[in-house]
Amino acid sequence: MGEIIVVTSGKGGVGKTTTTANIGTALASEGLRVVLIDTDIGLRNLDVVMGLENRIVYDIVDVVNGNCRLKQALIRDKRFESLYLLPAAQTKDKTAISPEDMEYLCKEMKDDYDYVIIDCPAGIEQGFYNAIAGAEKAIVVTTPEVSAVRDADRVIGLLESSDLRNPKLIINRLRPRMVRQGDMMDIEDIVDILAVELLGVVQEDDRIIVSTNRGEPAVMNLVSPAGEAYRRIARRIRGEEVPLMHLEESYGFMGRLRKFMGLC
Amino acid sequence: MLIDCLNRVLGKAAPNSRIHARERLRLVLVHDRAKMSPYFMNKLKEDLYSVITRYVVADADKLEVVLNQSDRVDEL
Repeated sequence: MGEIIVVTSGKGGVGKTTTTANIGTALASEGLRVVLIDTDIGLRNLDVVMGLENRIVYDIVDVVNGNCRLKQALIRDKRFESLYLLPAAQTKDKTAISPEDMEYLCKEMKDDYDYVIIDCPAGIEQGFYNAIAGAEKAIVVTTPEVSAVRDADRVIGLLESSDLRNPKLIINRLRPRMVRQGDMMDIEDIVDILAVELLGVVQEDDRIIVSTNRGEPAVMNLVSPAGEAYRRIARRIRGEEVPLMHLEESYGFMGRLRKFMGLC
Repeated sequence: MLIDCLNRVLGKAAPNSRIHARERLRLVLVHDRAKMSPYFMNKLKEDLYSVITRYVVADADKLEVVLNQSDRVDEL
């Protein structure tokens, strides 16, 4: 029996899709059977982040409308044969599927996969309710900014009133140096305010952009700090107890010089 | 001003915008969670005061309305 997890945030651009791709890839790299569902209909992106955009024939709306069977729409990952993607439709809108459709799809896949991970669209309109309809657990992604944490708080409230209790939090794009300088909220501030359990912290990492450019999730890159953070998150999802990463940042030449001179 | 500039050159920004962020966020969330705008929050305060002074002698300046939040539950 698989676990069905929705990745959500409220605010756009905080890293839901990156998180979904990386957690899914990390779990599949351990040999687990994983399917990723992109529910951002009209603005699909998980295919691009996974590097699978050229393989799409059918999408989730085709499945719901009966144009194809579920198995036909699932795209097998290039790297891991136990990893699949169910892409969103690009030409339709969010009303093309209903919460009942999602519940049905999730039930169909629950037995065949260890993890079904749903990438939720930004916002709290129908797309959000579609994405969470079939889920049993929720992950909320935020960044250390007032606007993102505020939206995360709203979403946590909505999840709880939709019976998705105890969502877990990922703090993404944390900049350790800014935290040290007192110019960014730290982990404790955010966890305190949102009062939910922390699943992991991912620091800002330029390699995420490179990996998105290439369509290769950062967990494939062994020197990427974000990749390491996502591998740890995946292990925590499996139930392992893994300590938080030590947050360090490469300084660059000027930074190292300043540090050497004791100026920061 | 000059010290600010100097600090910036030396890579030390004016400290503690983190505290600003945290406090602004706390305040915003009080209203979000209570589903109540600052305007209605003030009205509530005034009404509470007028009800309380009907029964006991109280001083408006000394009346404090505290909204507590613990474990995602708000209490007044």
